Amino acid sequence: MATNKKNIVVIEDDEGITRLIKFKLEKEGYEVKSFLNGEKVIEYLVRSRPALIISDVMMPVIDGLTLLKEIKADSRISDIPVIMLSTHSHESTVLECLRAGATDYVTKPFSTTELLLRIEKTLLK
Amino acid sequence: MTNVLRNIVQYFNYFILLYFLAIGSIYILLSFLSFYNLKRYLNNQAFKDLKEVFKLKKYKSISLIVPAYNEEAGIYNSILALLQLEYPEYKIIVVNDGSKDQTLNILKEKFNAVKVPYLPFDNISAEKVNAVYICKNFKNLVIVDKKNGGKADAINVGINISDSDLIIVVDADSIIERDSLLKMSYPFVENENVIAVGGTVRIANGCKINKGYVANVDLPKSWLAKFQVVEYIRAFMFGRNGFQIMDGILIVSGAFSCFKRSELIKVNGFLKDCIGEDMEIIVRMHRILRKENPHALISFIPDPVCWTEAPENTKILGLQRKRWQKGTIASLLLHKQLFFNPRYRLLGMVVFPYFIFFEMFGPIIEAVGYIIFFISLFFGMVSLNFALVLFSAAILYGVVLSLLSVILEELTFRRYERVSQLIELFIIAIFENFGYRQLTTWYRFMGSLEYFWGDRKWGHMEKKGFSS
Amino acid sequence: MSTGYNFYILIALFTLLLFAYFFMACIFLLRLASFLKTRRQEKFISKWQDHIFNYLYSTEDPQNLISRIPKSKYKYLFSYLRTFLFNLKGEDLNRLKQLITETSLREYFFNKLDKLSIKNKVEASYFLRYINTEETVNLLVKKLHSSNKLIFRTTVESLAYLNAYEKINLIIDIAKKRKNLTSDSILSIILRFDKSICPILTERLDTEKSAHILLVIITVLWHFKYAEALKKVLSILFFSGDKYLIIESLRYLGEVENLDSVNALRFFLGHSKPEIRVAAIEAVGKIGDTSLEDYIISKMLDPELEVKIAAAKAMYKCSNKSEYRLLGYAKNPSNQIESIIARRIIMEKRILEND
Repeated sequence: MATNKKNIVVIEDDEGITRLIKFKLEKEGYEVKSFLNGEKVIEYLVRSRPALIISDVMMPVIDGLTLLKEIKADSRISDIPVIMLSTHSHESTVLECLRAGATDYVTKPFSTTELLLRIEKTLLK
Repeated sequence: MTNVLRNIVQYFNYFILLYFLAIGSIYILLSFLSFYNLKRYLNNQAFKDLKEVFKLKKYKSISLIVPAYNEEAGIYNSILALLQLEYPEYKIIVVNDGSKDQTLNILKEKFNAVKVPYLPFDNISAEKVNAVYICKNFKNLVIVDKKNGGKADAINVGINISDSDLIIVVDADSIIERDSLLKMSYPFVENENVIAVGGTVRIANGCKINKGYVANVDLPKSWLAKFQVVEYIRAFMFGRNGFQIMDGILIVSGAFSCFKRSELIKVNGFLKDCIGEDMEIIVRMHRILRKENPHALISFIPDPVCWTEAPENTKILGLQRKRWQKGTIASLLLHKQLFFNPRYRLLGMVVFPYFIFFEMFGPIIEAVGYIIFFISLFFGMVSLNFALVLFSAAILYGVVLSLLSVILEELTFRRYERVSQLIELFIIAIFENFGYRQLTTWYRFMGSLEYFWGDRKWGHMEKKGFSS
Repeated sequence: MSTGYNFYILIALFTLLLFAYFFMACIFLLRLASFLKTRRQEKFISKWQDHIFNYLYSTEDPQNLISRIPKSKYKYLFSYLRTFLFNLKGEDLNRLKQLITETSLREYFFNKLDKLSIKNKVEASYFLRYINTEETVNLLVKKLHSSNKLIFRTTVESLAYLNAYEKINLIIDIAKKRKNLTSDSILSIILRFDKSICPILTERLDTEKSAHILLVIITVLWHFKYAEALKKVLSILFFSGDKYLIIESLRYLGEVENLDSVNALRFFLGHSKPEIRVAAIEAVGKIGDTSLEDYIISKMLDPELEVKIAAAKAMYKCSNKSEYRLLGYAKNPSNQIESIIARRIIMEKRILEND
């Protein structure tokens, strides 16, 4: 994991947003893999061990919070930092995500620059 | 003497013909109204951002009431799915209606339930509550255990326990779309006169279900269920959309409907031991609440919001349809004051009489019509030619109506995405007129007979539960 | 029946058959049209997405991008832009907005606002919210008088987005005249504005006669926690007889948490209507002032259940004294309603607070 090309997983149900994030991050030299919902993500995480995960909170099939809890409960991947991304600006949701082990929380509407800075900050730790 | 009889039969034939012409024109009219309503709804939706609701502090809090009777097969997955809906603040109240199986124990174990004292906010009369539980890991889940008293009774207990602005009643085996709560609560936010909202229900058989969500919409394998797909599209697209223009929504689906809690309290909740409590409550709300507030409104969301399991064998279908028919008759007769009552405007003058003539008496007239028709054919009072031509006209008319509803679906929500599914919908729309429609008419006829001359019991529908 | 009938019914049969064929053809055509539309949309995205994203992160002239996109593809562009306009902020959003404000799209939307069809007008008024000029505001204000509810709503939303708060009085005046707008719809529309409408609305409290507009205004003030209106709300509270207005005002008092409202709250704790007593107790609970503590404790013995419950909730964690009294009720093993309430509230709060 010492290379500067870092692997990031984006889980978000809106394709346009996903593509934008992907575009922005790839421009910065990251490698991005995207999923439309939380299904089958865990297997992939275990296999490829990315440097960071960005996940929407509200998604079909498996929502972000459930996924977050699953990641944090799985010792093989629980150390990977997770940044949550959501339309919810309700304090309770933010707190719930942070309690469940999210590293950071970004509220939509968001700015890709801000997201990038937060990613960099998280990866520096 | 035979002449007199002949004349009677002849006149009855004319009457039947007239009846079919009338119902035919009504459907045509309804289809125009529906088209207008759908267009208005879609225009309204086009530039509305549903998620804006999250930014307003003034959304309505919601309680989902899930009455559960012997649901051990699917209850855990259903509740898990309900816990993941999109909405800022909602509570789920599962009411175990004295199940004889493991429903309660499954709920208690899987969700880490803790017993708390029972504290009702209102006291609509209902059976005894044994215990109330809240859950450590799911803070918005409440489990209630009560003595068996039927669905209406279970819902009433849920209403007593809830302290939310809105109540949504949902069947334990219904599959709810994730943004349903946003869509269902919107009419209440926009207009305080809205007292209840019904949603569109579709058939889940054949769809791929993943963890309580419809992952892939498809048509069922069984023909009986296929027919019901087109039947549901027709009923919701035509009937309810058309009636909404006249402010005359008289039925909301029992599988998924939303009420203002304060208004439910005013009418004293659901009626216990009534066949078809979901229809009865709506008619009663119209009757009582419109007196108080003439602008009181029951609204309808044309978007498909809920998917439900349809019976796949004729025995259960028969029981279901007889039950619906009995429920309709019971609700209509309980509130017959609405009949041609100008105070209720279009609802009283048009919609209610329509239900009396065509929904309550319709099946009887149709069934008797078929019998008399065959008798007169047998005695040579009508020629075989005439009979055949008339018969094919009736069938073709049915086909046209079914196709029209497929058009409306195609113009609006287009949930069946593949062309092969579209072709299948066509074929179903044609074949449902050969046998299936007559079959449902027969069940409704039997239901009416049973209501007036016999057994008024609810039939129980077997459920198999969705596997995840 | 004679053969005469046969003829008519045959004609009917034939027409029905025609209709059936016609409908089938319709459905296929509709499906084809929607298929082509989706494909065009996808093609548009695959062709233009990278151009748009590149533009977003460069200093490219927006007109340069827009003039390359053919006019016939605009509808795909707009539906694509909407997602991003809704979900982005900061520099990203500014660059996106420039696509509308600093290009020919500006004129395009201005023209569209005067088109006949409602759909066009609504679309134009939706996108005009991204062009922040006086000209836009004036154009939109004209559209407020439209008889169509949808146009009215979108226009107000756009004005809110443009933060044209000085138009709020006009908007309320027009909304009042419209029959099909209830207080909740007016509220949900004007809540799109931000806090800057509060001073104007506070001023309006002096002159406004309609109880339902007053209700809307106080709810807005509550929503934004606008404390400067306290004096005026207090005076409305005492002079109004409207139950809903009183409840909403009490909620406002609780939200702004000012000790000046204590006297008013004490008065309404003894009001004859239980809903009003509940609202007063909740407000006291929010302010957390202990001078009214004894009143709240006494409300545990109120005849109405909802008042008792509200009192118990307010007593929880309020002060040592209330806490002690609440625990006292809870420890009483009897089936007295006060004890049940106390036990339930304490358990619920503790379970929900501990993780």
